[in-house]
Amino acid sequence: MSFTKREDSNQKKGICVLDASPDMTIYCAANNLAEIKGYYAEFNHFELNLSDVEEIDSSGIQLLLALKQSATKDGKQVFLNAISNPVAEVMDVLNIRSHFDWIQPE
Amino acid sequence: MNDETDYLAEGRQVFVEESSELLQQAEYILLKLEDEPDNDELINDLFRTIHTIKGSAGLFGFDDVVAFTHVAESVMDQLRDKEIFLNDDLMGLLLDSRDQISQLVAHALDNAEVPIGDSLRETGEELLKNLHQYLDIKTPNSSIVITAESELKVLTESEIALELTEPESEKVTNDYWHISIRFNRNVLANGMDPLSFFRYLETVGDIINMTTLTTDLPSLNDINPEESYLGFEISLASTASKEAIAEVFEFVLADCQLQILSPRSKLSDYTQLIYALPEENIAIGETLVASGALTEDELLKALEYQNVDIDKQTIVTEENITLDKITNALMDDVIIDKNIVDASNVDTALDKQKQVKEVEQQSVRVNAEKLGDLINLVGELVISSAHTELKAKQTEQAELLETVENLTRLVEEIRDATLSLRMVQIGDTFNRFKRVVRDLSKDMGKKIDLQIVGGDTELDKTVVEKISDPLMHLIRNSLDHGIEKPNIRTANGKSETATVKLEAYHDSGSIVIEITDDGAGLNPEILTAKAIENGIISANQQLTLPEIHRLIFAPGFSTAKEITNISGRGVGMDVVNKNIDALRGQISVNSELGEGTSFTIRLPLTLAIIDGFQVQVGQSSYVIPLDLVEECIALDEQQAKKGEYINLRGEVMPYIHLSEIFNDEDSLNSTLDKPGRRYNIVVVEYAGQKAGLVVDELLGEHQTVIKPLGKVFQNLKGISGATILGSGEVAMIIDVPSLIRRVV
Repeated sequence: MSFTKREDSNQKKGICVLDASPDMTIYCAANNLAEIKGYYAEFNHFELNLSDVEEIDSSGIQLLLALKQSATKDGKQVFLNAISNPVAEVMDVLNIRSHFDWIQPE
Repeated sequence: MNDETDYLAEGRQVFVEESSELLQQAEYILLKLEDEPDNDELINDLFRTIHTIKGSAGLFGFDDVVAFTHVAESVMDQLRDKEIFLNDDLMGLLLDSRDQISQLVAHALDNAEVPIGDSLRETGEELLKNLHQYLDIKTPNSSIVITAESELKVLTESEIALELTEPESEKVTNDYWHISIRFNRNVLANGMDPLSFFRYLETVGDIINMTTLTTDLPSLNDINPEESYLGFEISLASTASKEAIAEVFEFVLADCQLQILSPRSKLSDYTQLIYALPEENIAIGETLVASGALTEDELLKALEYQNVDIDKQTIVTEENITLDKITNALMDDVIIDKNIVDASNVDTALDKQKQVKEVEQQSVRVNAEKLGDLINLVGELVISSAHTELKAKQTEQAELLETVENLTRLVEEIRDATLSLRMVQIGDTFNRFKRVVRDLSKDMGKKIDLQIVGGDTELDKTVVEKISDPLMHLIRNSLDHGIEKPNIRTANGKSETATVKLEAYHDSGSIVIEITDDGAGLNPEILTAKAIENGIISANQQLTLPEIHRLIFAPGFSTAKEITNISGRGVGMDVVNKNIDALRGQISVNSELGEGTSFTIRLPLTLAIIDGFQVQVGQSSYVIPLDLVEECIALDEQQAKKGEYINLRGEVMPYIHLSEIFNDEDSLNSTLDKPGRRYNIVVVEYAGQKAGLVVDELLGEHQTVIKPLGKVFQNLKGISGATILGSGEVAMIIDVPSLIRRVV
C-alpha cells in the first residue's frame, strides 16, 4: 500500500486523509496513481500527509500536480499538511510550492 | 604506480579509437554538408564532433591538437551561429583542417615528446591563418550584407520597409541566461530524472528563477505516471559559457528540446523562443515575464516581431524564395541549440533517425581480442556439441536425444549470435571513399558522382579491414584510367559528370561488392598489345574477351601511358587479386568498350564458422559449405560411365568424382568392386556456375568450425580448410570455387 487512508478519515466528514508511503519515485508511480485514483473517485476533500516520504522524483511530483490540477477542475479540494525534507527540497528546486494549497499542522 | 600507467595506456587506447571514429565522422559530415550546406543539424553534429576531439585531446595533454582544434572549432561555432556561411573555400579549408587534426593526433600518439615536424607545423600555420580570416569577419551585420545581398535584391519595397522596422540591435535588459527545456515523454522511462539535471545545473550557476509548466499535464484519469509532462523555464546567473551550460544536459539532449539564450540576448531571439515553444505564445510570454526574463514592454515588442515575422514569411513564399535563405539573411544570430524538427519535414526527421541509428551502432566498444576468444570458444562448443550429439545417438535414449537436440539448436543460435557480433556494416568503409573520390576528381579535373548502394550490408570485421585496400585500388584505378575528362565525355555523348557506383549485397553465403563506372571501358586491342609487349602472352595466342579482360590482373601489367601518382605502376591489380584470393574470395571484371567497367568481388561472409554439408568418400569425410549446395541427386551407373556431363533438367552440368580428385583408393576400389551401386551427386553452385560432385555417401548437415590448414598444406588445390567432426575425426572442407573452375 502506498497511500494509506487514516482511520479517522470519515470522522472528519467526507475528508480523506492520506499518508503517502516513503517511496514516491517512478518505481511506485503506477501503483501510487492507481490508489490515488481510487480515493479520488470516492472523496471530494483530501488532506495529504507527505511527512514519511523518503524519496521523490519528477514522476512523484507530477502525480501530486496532476491530482491538484484535476481537483481544481472538478471542484474538489486538495490540501497538503506536512512534507518531509526530501519533498521540500524537490519543491524548492522546481519552485512549485505555490501550486498547492497548504494547511498548517495542528 | 604500475596500475596508473596501465590505466593511462587503456585510456589512450580508447582515445585512439574514439578519435579515429570521430575524425571519420567529421569527414563524413563535411562531405554531406557539401550537398546540403543549409542543414543545421549537420553543422551542429560537426561542431560537437570536433568539440569532443578537442576535449579528449585536452585530457591527455595533447596541446598541439587542442590549440589547432580550438580554432577550427571556433570557425564551426560561427557557422553554427550563422555568422558565416559555407562556401567551396571554407569547405576545402575545413576538410584540410580535419586532416591536420588527424595528423596531429597521430603525431601525439606516436611520440608526444618530440615537437611536431616542420612540414606539419607549416601546414598548420597556413591553415590557422586561413581559419582566422573567417573568425575576423565576425561582425554579424556585415556578414548579413554579404550573404544576403543577392537575396535582398528580390525583396519588394514593403519587405525592405519591414526589415528596416526590425530593430535588430535591441536587446533585453535581463542579465541572466534563459533556459527553456521540454523533456520528451519517454525521459523517465529512459531512467533519467529531470530533477537531477537541475541539481547539476546548480553547480554551474545560481538558479534565479524556475518556472515549472504544467500545461501539458493530463488529468488524473489520462495521465501515464511513467511519462514526463513538465516543462521548465529557468533563469540562471552564471559566468559559464553557453557550451558549459548545454553540457549539463548532455545526456538528455536526444530526449528533450533545449534552448539557451545568453544574457542580454536580442529581443528577436526571444521572439524565436516564444514561437518555437509548444505552449500558447501568450502563456509562454507571461511565464517569461513572471520569471523575470522579459519585462512587459519587451514581451509586447517581442510578440509584435512575431507578427512581422509571419508577414515576412508569407511574402517570402509569394516571392518564391526559400524560407531558409531569408531567415539566414534577416536573423543574424539565431540561437537554437537543439533544432526543433519540423514535423512536416520528413526528410530531416528520417535523416536524424538515421544519424541516431549510426550513433547507437558505434556505442558498444569491445576489445577485438575478447571477441576473437569468444568466437574460438563457440567453435569449440560447436565441435563438442556435435560430439555429444553423436554419443547420444548411439545410446538411442529418446529423452536424451530430445535434450541434446534442444542443446544443439541453442548452440546453433549462440553461434549465429556470436558471429553476428563481429559483423559490421560495410557502409563506413564505403563512406571513406567519398573523400578519396572528391579529392582525386578535383586533382584530375574530372567530375565524378559516387553512388553508394547497400551500405548496410554486413560482413565480418576482419574481412572488411582486409578488403578496404583492394577496394581503394580499384576505385583509384577506375577514376584514373576509367573515367574520361569532362570534355571527352561530352564529345562522346555522355553526361559531363561520371558515375562510379559502389554496391554491396548478399548472395548465397557470399557478399558481393560491385564497383561500376560509366567510363571508357577496357580496350581489348590495347590490352592484348600490352600483354604481348610485356611477354605475358605470346603474339599468336587467341583469347576470349573475358580472358583478355582478366589480363589486367596479371603481374606487371599496366596500360597507363603516363604514370601518375594515383595509379599506373602496374603493381596494383595483381596485388588486388592476391588480397582477394587470400580472403577466399574471387574478383571478376566485365567491361564494354566506351560504356564502362564493372568489377565484381565475391567474398565469404565469415572466416570462422559455417554451415556445412558432410559427405563421405571412401573412408574420409568431406564438408561442402552448405550455402553453395543446391541439391543432391542420384546418378545411375550408366550415366556415370558415359563421361563428365549429365543432363540436369535440360541443362548440361559437368561433374567430377571427388574420389578421383583426392585419389582415394578405398573409394576407387569400392567403385570397381560393386557394380550397380548408386552414386550421389551434390550439385553446387558458385557465381552462377553449377557443377556436380560425385560422392559415396551423403551424411547431412554439419556445423563446421573452419580450422586453417598449416603452411605445408596451403598450396593444396580443392581444399580450403579442415574441421573436426563430432567423432574427433578430421574432415577436409571442399574449396568449391576452385573445383568449379577446374571442371567448367
